[in-house]
Amino acid sequence: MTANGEVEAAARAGARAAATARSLGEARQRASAAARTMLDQDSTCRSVPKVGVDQFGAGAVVTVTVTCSVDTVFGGVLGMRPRVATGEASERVSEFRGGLD
Amino acid sequence: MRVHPGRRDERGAIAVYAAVLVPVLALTLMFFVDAACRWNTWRDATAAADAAARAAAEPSPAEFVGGQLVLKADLAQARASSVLAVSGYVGKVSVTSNVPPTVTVTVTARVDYVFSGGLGSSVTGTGTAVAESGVFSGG
Repeated sequence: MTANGEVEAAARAGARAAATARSLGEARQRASAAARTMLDQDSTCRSVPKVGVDQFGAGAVVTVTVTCSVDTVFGGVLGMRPRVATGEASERVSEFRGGLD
Repeated sequence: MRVHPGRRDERGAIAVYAAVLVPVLALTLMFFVDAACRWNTWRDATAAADAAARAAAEPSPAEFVGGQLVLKADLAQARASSVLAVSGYVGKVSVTSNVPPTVTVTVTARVDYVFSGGLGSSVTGTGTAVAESGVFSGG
């Protein structure tokens, strides 16, 4: 899988995890844990991935954004700087779970 | 310039090879770049359709009638649309009347090609989700 694909997959996993939370704090925690667990398995990211959670609430569509720096294809050979890969995914928060706290 | 008697003149042979190979290589490169654009759009559309299907299959409190879940077509469509709107897509929702209901969301997305666009102007992504329980009403 490409670096962009990995980061997008991590964002999707983070969004699904965030959608099961009851509060914004829990959503951030769950999204970070899910996204980082996923990225730890492949370690394409050269930096600690940043995970952002936006628009959390019952019935709302929560958006999770994951960013991390990754090597370019020939970056190691040519000495190029790592680039920033960004993945974004959205998931609807259940009206029964979200915003209970 | 020295001329070798009995030896064929091969000057210009590389130019002929280049004239044939360069366009072929360029077309191949363009094809793969456009194919990657198409695949990327399909992947995004499918991910959005998956999320929309999950949202549509997750009922709201208004869909519990007499203690039973009745998945309503208009509400399922609204939930799916709210997720798709964030990604900038529009999709079609269909729900089967089996128990529990199965929601299928189909998203058709326009592909922004870098070069030709000869691979088709749009792609279709499909996502499916099954409600935990209940029956379907409407649509």
